[in-house]
Amino acid sequence: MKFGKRLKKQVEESLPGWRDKFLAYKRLKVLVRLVSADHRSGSSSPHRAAAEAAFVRLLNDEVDRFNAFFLEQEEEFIIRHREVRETAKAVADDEQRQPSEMRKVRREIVDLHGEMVLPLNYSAVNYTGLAKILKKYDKRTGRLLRLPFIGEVLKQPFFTTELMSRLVRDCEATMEAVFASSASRDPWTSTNAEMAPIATEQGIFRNTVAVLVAMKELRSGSSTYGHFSLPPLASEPALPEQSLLLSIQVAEIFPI
Amino acid sequence: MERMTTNPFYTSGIPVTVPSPLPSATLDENFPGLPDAQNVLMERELRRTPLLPHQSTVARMRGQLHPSTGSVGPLCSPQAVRFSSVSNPEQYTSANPYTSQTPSNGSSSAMVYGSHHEGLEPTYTDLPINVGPVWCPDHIMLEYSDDVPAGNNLTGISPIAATDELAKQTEWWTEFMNDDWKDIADNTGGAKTQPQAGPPVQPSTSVHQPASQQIVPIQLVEPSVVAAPSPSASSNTSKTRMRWTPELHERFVDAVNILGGSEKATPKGVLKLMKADNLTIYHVKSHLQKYRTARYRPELSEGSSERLDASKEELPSIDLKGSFDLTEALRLQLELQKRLHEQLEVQRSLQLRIEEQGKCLQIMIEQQCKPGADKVLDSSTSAEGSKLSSDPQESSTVKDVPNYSQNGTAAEAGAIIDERLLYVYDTNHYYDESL
Repeated sequence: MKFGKRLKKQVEESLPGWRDKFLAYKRLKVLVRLVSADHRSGSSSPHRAAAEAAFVRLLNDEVDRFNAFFLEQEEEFIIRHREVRETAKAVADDEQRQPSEMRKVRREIVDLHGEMVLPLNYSAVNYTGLAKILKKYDKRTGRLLRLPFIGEVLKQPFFTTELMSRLVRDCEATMEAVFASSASRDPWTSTNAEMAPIATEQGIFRNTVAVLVAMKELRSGSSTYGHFSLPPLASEPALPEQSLLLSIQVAEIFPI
Repeated sequence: MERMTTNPFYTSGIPVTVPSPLPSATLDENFPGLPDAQNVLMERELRRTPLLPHQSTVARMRGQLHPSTGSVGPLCSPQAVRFSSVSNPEQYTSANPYTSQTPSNGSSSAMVYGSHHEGLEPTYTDLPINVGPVWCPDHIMLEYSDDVPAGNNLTGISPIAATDELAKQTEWWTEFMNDDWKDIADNTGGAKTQPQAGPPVQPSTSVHQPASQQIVPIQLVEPSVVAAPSPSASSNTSKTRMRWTPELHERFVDAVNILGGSEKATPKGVLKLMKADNLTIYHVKSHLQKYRTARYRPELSEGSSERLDASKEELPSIDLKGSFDLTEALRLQLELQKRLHEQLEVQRSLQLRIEEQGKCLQIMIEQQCKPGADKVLDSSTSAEGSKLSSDPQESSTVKDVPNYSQNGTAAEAGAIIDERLLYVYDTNHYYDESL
C-alpha cells in the first residue's frame, strides 16, 4: 500500500480531534507534481518558482502545525500525568481504599499511558511523511532540499519527543506502584486473548491497535528501499501478541 | 480537484504557521534597505497579475492597521486577505478553512488560548512575494511590536523611522494584552471576516517571542525556523509555542497552591510567584485553564464513583466477574501500548541515525568533490584511462556511486554530479596507485 493511502487510513482511525492534524501529504504531492510538470514542459520560471515557493511554504506551515499541536498535547499530558500520579499516590497510601477506586485509578493510568503514546506516533508518522515527500521533491526537481530540511525537522519540538517518552515511562512506573500495592488481590495471569475483542470498545486501545497495525504495514518492506529507508519491523517473538492483533482486527470488522 | 478546497486536514482551522526561512530571508533583506526591496517586490508583483485585486484589498486594510484605531478588528483582516490572496492566484488553496474558521470547532479552548500561533508573522512572509511595497513598513512595525514586549531583538533588522509609531503600537498592544481574550473575541465577533482569528492572534504574537526564548533555557529545543534550501538566520522570528516541562509545571502548581488552589489563583498572581523568565501571562492563563480542566474532571468522577461501579458505565460490554477480568483487559491494553512505545522509540532512533549517516556521507562526498574538482579538468584523460583499465573492485565502487545519488543521499543533483563522482573516484584511485 502506498504511504498516502496508509496515512489516510491512519488518520481515519485516529481520534476525532486528531484527524486534521496530520501531514497534508496529498496536497504536498500535488505541489511536487506541479513543480516537476512545469520543469519538464519548460514553462516560464515564475510559475515554477511559485509552485516551489508554495511547496516550501506549505512544508514550513505543516511543521509549525505539528509543533503547535504536539506542544499542546505535551503540555496537557504534563498536567494530567502529575494529577494521575498524585491520585495514584493517594490511593496507594490510603489504607481504606475501595476496589472500585483502585480500578478507577488503574484504568486512568492505563488510558493516560495509551494517550501519551499517541503523540509519539503522530510525530513519527508526520516525520515519515515529510521525509518521503522531500525525497519525491528532490527526485523530481533535482534540488537538494531534503537533507537540510530534514536536518532542521530533527530539531523541531514535535520531533524531539524525549520528554513525552520520559512521561510515558514515568507512567509505567506509577502503574507498577499502584498495581504492585494490591498484587495479592489481583494476581497477574497470562494474557487472555478472549479479552481482546471486548477491549476494542475502548477508544484509546483501539487507536493503539490501529497504530501498531499501520506501523507494521508501513515497515513491512519498501519497494524503493534505499539508504534512508527504515528496515522492516522486526518480527516479534511474542506470538500471543500476534494472535492478539489478529483477533482484534477481526473484532473490528465485526464489532461486538 | 476537490482536494484543494475541502482539505480535511484544515477544517478545524487552527492556523499555525511560522515564517519559512525562504521568505524570511527576503524579509531580512527587506529591512536594511527598503527601497531596493521594494523594487524587487515590484518586479515580482508584475509577474503576479491576478494578485492585483487582492493587493488593493490589502492596501485598504493596511490603512487600518494604524495603532490609533485602537480596535482589534482591522488586524484580523489582513490575515484573512492574505490567505485568500495567496491561495487564489497560486491555485493551491487552504484558503477557505482559514477564512471561515470558527473557534467553536472541537478544540475551542485550544483556539482561544493561542494554539495557533501564527500571529501576524506569516502574513509577512507571504506578502513580500505576492503583494507590493505597500506592505513593507507596516510589516516592520508590527514585527517590532512582537518583539518589544518580550524584549527580544530581531537580528539583522535595522531601526527604522517608524520607531515612534512602534512605541505607540507597543503601548496599544500591552493594553490589549491586559484584557481578557475572550471578552475581546466576543466583542469583535461577527463583524469582520475573521473575528475570532483576530484577538487570539494579536496577543499570541507577543507570546511567540518569549516562547522562542523560553525554549532555549528550559528545554532541548531550538526555536529555529525550519530551513529551506537557502538557510536563513531568522530563528528569532519563529513563533514556536511555550514548551512546558514537568519542572516548570511543578513551580506552577506550587504557585497555585500558595494562592489557594486552582480556582482562586489568578494568572497574574501565579506569574508573579513563579518568577520565570520569558513566561507571559498568556502562557500562564492557558496553562491554568488546562490545569483547571484536568482537575475538575477527576473530582467529578470521584464523587460518583459508587454510581459508576454500580452502573458499570465505563465498560458496558464487559461482564464484570469482579475486578479480575477488568484488570486483565487493562493489562492487555498496557502491554500493547508499551509495545507501540517501544517500536516508536526504535524507529525514531533509527531515523536519527540514518540522517546522521546521510550527513556524514555528504561531508565525505563534498570533501572528495572539492579536491577532485581541479583534477577532473586536468586529468580527464588519465581518468579515462584508469576507468578503462579499472579492475573489478574499482568498478564496483564506481557503480556504488550512482546508486547513492539515485537513492538521494548527498549528491542528489543529477547526472552531472554522478559523472564527477565517477571521475573523483577514479582519480583518487589513480592517485593512490601513483603513491
